[in-house]
Amino acid sequence: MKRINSYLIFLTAFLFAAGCSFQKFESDQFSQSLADPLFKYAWHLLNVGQSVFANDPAVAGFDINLNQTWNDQIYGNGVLIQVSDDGLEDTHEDLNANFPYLNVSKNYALTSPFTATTARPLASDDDHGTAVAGLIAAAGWNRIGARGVAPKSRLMIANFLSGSIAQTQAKFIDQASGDFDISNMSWGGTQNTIDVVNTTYNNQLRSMVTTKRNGKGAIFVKAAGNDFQVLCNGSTSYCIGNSSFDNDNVIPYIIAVAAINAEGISSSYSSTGSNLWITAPGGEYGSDSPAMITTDRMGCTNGFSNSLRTTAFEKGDSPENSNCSYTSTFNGTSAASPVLTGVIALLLEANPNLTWREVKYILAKTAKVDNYVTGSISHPLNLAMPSGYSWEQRWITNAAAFNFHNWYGFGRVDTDAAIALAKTIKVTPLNLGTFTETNWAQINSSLALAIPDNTSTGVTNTINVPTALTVEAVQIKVNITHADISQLALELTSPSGTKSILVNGRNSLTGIADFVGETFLSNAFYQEPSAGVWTLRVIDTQAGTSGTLTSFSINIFGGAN
Amino acid sequence: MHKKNLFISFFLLSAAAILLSSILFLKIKKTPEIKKSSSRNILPDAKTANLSSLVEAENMKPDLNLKNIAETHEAKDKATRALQNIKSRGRLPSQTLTKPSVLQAHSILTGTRWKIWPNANVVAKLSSDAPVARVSHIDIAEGEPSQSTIVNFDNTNQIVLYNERLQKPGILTGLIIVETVDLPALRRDLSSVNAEIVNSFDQINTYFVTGLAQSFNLELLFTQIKKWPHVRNAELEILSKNYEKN
Repeated sequence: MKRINSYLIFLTAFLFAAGCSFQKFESDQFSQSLADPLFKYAWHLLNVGQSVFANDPAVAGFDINLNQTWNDQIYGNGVLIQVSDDGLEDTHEDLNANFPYLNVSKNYALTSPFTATTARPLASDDDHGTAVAGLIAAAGWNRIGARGVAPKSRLMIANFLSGSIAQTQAKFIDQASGDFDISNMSWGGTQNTIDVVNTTYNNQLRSMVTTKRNGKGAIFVKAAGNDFQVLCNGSTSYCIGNSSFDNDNVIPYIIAVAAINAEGISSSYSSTGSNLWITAPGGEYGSDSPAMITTDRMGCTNGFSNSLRTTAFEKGDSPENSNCSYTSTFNGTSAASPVLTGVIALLLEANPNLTWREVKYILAKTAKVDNYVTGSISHPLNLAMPSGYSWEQRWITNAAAFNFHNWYGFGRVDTDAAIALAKTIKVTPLNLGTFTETNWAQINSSLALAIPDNTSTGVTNTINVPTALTVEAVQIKVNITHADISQLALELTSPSGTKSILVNGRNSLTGIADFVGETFLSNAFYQEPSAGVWTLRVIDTQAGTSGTLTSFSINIFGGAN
Repeated sequence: MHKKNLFISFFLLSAAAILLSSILFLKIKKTPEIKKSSSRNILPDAKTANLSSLVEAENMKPDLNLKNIAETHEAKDKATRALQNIKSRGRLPSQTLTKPSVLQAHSILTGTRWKIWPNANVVAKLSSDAPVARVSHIDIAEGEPSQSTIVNFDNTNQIVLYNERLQKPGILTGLIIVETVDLPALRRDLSSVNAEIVNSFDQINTYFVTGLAQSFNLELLFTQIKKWPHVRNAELEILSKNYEKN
């Protein structure tokens, strides 16, 4: 009996201690998980070093830092988000509450104007949109499932990406129209080919950011791509891709999002490029390192989690996911993009007056630089560069004090800091100046500048820009004759001396001849002055083929004061 | 004595259980509160020079509280991991498209790198023939010549193209993308050439147009449209991009 008594007294003391300690439980993960059972796996929302079924756990702290924002009860109320994807299971138990059936969705199986109250998955593999939507707006504190970043925002869907839909130009342009506040595009083209900018699409986006939300502009968030390594063009070998090779990613009206994993470093697949704006969690593949927990098409006969999967959670053998309504293996910049979309929804609730330019400013200004290391990066596939030439640079700090990295953009999104700045701007408005575009006014045509073969000096050409703007984005176009443009690197240096590498040498454009007016974008010069001499340098990074720079033009977007 | 001890223990145990339950209940009910991470300094830029004291935000400083990852994010590590993941996911290289043996230039495609691939057809998705390529979710098969020609374009038989520079196929859909400064004039002129608008984007003055009849002369229609004074720009719709989930 004494032993029993001792045991009971010990147990009592333990429970008291546990009760007290729960009040101090680190970051309330326990209570959050009672409110939404799968919250504990959402390292992107609260990274406490959980492993989420992977071999290696997350590294605590690398999340989107939204604690204070939720404490302030900012949940994305009143913000309407279009998920432009392959369809959405609007009846999902954790999404339905945030799907208001407004007859503003787009079903491209219908005839023009395609309007519908919803667009559910049509093809058997239309699983993507439901997972994307959950990262944005899975309902919160309903004691089921997961939670979105903006758990009280509202969803609509455009099913442009469905396997049953032909991707015509009209549908492509149409999915970028509508009365939403934010559109999330977790998709893109393969980054081993290149094309000129689609002018109609460019015009449509410009129209949306200048007219929607009563002139404050709709916000377009786009996945940067998963082609860090991609099949070389016309080959069965792998090369290094570039987010800028997708011609939709070099339009400054979109926000291109790269992915980090649960260790806080660039995800293995995440495309790189000077066109990136910011980084958000996208995870890895869930086996070596955590992927992302989100909603999945219900039932174990479809979706990412299904009876054919091998792990208990994914095949419905776990009581936490007995109906296969959630997945823990979603990843990609497809996942990073909706995480950022959710953050922007929170921003628009905190300050509904924010313009699309102010949103971009806030994100850039408040992004976290986790590992500020300068210097160079050698070719990831060990390919040689000309003597003395660096394939890529690490973090740079531009003349306006913004840090930038072609792998992270301005850094990892920091929700609480962004919300704080958004609230501040509500009181003390930000003056970004009148939005101005120089419209390719400066062009050096009829050039005949030989590009020396395999030398680090390359060939340079300069353009003097007379217009005084505060830079928000810079585009360049080049025409170059060369038998294999994958060998060419392009660098742009601003009047302030900031260098941005727009194209890395020895890339995935293998065997493609000539640049014929394709556009490249750099965000690295953000907030620098535009006026002065801009210098393009073209470097041929591989011996054997030489070429000629025949024209160079520049287009600067920025604020005029 | 033993009974008394037992009673006290049960009493304390019950009290502890009630306390614990209450705490858990309150945790569920109340708005979640999460500890805020440590604040940092700001380096103001020109826009926020007057706001810096109000904002705990920055783009400047690394968070030194987090694990230093300088040695682990080398390019090669990322490349190695990427390739491992590609292989483990079964994303192995697919067969690349060999250059078509016969290609035909056409004046309507002047100024582009596209040529007609005469021995290729757009096929239904569920065709038993294995497609040689897929463009914009539309399958292309090689074999029979297309029933369509540029001057006798059949809307049900789109023309397959090939871009030698980019080494990829495209589909000439028979639609013309027209940007106009005068919509009524466009409607009037289209009517006069037996063509119509099939998709409208008024906000950017852009319209997708095609012949009214199932078969029409695409070259003639395109040439006419480009000459109309109210047309700012006209181009043929060529599908060549595959939009993929990321």
